[in-house]
Amino acid sequence: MANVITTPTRSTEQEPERLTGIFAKLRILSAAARYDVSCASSGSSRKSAPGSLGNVAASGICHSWAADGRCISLLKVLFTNYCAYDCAYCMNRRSNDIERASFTPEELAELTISFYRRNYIEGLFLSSGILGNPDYTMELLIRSVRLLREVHRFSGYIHLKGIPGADPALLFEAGSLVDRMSLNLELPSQSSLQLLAPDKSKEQILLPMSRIRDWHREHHPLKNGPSLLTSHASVSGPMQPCKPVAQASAFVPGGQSTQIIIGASPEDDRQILTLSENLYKKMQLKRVYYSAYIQYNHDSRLPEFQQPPLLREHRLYQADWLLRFYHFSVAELFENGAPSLDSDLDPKIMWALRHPEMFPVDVNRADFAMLLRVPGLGMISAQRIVRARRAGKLSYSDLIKLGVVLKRARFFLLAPGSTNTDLGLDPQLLRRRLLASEPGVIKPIQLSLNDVPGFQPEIWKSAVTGQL
Amino acid sequence: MNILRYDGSFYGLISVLVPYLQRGQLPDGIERENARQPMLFAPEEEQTTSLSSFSADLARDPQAFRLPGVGNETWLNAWHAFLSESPGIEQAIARYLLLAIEKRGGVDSFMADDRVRLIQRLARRVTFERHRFMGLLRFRSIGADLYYASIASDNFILPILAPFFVKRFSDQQWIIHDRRRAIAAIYDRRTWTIIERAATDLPVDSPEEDATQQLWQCFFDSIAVRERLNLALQQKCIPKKYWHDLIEKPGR
Repeated sequence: MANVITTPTRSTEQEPERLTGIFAKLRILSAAARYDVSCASSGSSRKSAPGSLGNVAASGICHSWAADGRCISLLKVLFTNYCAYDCAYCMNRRSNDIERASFTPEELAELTISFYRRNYIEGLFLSSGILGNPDYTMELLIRSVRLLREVHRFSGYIHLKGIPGADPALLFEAGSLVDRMSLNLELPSQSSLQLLAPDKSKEQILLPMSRIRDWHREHHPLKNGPSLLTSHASVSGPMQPCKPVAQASAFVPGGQSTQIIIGASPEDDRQILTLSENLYKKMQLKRVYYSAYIQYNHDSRLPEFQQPPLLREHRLYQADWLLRFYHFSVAELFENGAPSLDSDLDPKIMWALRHPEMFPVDVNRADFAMLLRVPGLGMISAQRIVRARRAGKLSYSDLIKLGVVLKRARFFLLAPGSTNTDLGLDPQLLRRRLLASEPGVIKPIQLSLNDVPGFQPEIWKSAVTGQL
Repeated sequence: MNILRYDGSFYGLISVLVPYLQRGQLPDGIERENARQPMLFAPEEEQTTSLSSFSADLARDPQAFRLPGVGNETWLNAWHAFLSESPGIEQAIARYLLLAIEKRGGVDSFMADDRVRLIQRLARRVTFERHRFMGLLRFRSIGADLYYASIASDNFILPILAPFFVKRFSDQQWIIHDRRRAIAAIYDRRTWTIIERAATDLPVDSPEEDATQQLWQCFFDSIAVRERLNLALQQKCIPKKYWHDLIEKPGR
């Protein structure tokens, strides 16, 4: 009887203490992770096995939106914000005097599961400061992830940061447990990296990236072109997997991503996008994220900003979409123009205005690739047009019925019923008309009589009353 | 005048419609058996089906009625549009299916046709809301391994939302309660079912629930980047009508 009473009282004494500990850790370590912009839970697909928890939807699911308007899909935390490095731009750098904390793998796994079961999240995004050395940190991350997958039988999404400089065998082990891996490039050039992140080097980041790519290629030969190796007999050397993978699809099914900070270093848009293009083509990355630099450290090596360059970040994302889904190349985008993107108009219009000879595009004849190049037409509109015109010729009013947004596209599309005054405009005039319809650029103002030059209020009064 | 009556389920609607569609005709009116406002001046030529059980699986099978020209996509569009519960949806579905039969397939390419456009728009609205709730639905623990979620969706999304959570949380028991319609989906680790006239009083949370909710609120607050505060965007992504059932508190 005594036992029955004492056990609960002891646990209730410990419970609040344990809870406040977890609270502080979660607060510190999620705040420390918030500048990592990656949030995607897409690109991978995991089916739930009997007796296991969760699955991964290929489309990705947003579960909430934070006060900054960014989607919350994953429990995004650092394992620890203790860090051996001293990168100029980073809030968690060694020389900053901030609150530090560290999860244990057990705490982290429990937290993830309790959130997941309530449908708060799609999975876990786990990054970390460098605790001691890269290998030790990587081992801790692997332990946490392994606990989730093997003890809690968690089949939800896991995005893990690779720690630059960690042993390749550890990277491989991690890769066979998670859906997506990423190593952050952070700065777009070797020289900026040397200046601002002296503990890291470009090779340290790109080498693991290319290794993961090669392992990934081996495990998904159909998805990623020819395998690098001609036969499995030639497996040898330090670049090879340390043990065979159980399932063919088990190695980072969601691919890799990276992040670049915008505005902390002098590179222009063209350089940044060329880097992204190379990462997509040569490293087969799924995503490059851009993060407008936000000032939290005062450092002579860094520029001083009042406002983070959010518009520039937005334009870079738009251009990034053109590279990935609309078959544009960086060389095309910046052909005969400045090496930076137009801040007033989106990159597709910028390109279209430099190529008036390509337009107008005939809605009923143009191929899919050309429709995708029309400003204002997205993937869905272009698909609808291609499908609907099989059933019959499309007129301008049909386009409206299809749900195509014609605000910008009307200047570039030729369809029976489109107005002549919109087509064949010279680029200068077109630019002005487009800007006029862009919100916030030129705002129409109600004219007032007082604005008319030479207007005298007294005369107006007498004109109304009729008295001189 | 031909006024059709059906039991309120999609399967029931199609059952009474099929004889008309096969003759290439449209009924003059279709109404639910328990419709609040019976049609005026309607001489009764009743055709009632005795199907009262809700059969989601059958509703998904386009082969069940063997209508020529009605493929999988057309069928799903009709079903999803039906779940929008818009007034007059029955007649709109009848017109859409009749067109599909006339065209002998490929009706969904006629996107500029008003009959097709209406159904596609409603179907998109329903599937969009389902996708929203895949993320915005919040379970609370109300007992050992038993979870409860409450929603008030614009459309009747429960039949298409529940299968998603069956796959995702196959090892926990749960209830999703549609407060607006007083209907609930229940899953007991083996099968799921929809029950009507679900009670409206909220079940009591289990003891660890409060701490987990506070942890979630703590994460939700600290993940936002202060320098990029954008409450308008946040509200655009989670409209206020959904705030009531969320655990976290947006807008601050």
